[in-house]
Amino acid sequence: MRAGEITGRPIVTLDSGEDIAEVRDVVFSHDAGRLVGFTLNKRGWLSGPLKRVLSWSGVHALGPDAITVSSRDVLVAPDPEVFDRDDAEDVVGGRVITDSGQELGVVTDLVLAVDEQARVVGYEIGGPAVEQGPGSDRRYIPLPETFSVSASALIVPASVTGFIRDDLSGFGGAVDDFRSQLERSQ
Amino acid sequence: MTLRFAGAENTPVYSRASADEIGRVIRYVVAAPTRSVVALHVGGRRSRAALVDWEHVVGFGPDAVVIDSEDHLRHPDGDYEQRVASGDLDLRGRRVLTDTAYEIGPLVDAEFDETTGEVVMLETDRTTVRGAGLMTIGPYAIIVRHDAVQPADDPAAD
Repeated sequence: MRAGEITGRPIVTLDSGEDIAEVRDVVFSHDAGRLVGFTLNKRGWLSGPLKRVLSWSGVHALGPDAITVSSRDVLVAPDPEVFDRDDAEDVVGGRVITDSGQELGVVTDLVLAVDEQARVVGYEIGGPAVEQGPGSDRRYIPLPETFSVSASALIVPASVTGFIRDDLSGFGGAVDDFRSQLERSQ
Repeated sequence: MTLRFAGAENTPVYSRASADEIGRVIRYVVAAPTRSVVALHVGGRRSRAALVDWEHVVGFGPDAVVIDSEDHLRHPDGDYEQRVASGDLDLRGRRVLTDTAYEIGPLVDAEFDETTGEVVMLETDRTTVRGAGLMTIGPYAIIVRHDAVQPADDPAAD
């Protein structure tokens, strides 16, 4: 799923069936390549930022229609080690450049694979470099297990160009194939 | 035998002690932890809306519900029963969400065992859920275990 789809999703308690908050922002650790938690808004007419946050460890399930948690007790004060780290800065808007010096596009969203963790496995890219090419104005690039990223740019192996997809169907396979190819070439 | 919530609503409620009709079934108090109907909400001609615990239901048939005595009608007790009695937690039409955060449609109806009150099946507008999977009845959603949801029919298999 794309990270942008998660914004606004309700947080629902399993013990009371209440919607106690909604996602304001998704927080990542790009060093670790995974989602670490969510900042939250209140629900309903009084919507506004909540001081408490939801860490990934407090999530029961991240689904297409909600995020379920055991109870409201899992909403906690933000841990600055997790929620204020420099590497959690937003990479959306950063340029994606191959290690051979070709710009592939600009990051417009992150693609997640969700199981025990919510791992960042790819980026949605757009911008002039994508729009000048054939097909959709959005493309999806798989990421290596480890890569260099800053707030301004992401450097990926040039071989990724063979695994870029126009949509997310079959994208998991592209991620696996790309990473296997990287392993074989090392 | 099982009955459906919708079909049993508005069934007249009689007192075995007096043979009087004391009202009609208007809602069900379902305890999610035990997955069962634990009380009926009776509204009616001679009584203000009140609850009667399932243990005082003598018989629950297609034409009438018989309770042992109108003396066992009681007021809602606690926040959950108050919300049920006020209609804030009406089951039918309420969103059904799996614990894995998939919406599976609004609740259309449910079936319960007429002798034990056990909820045996929940029905949404697109699938059914085994009653044993009922986890929580809340203001936002009825929560069910994902593994209790019946697999949807595959239209491509037709």
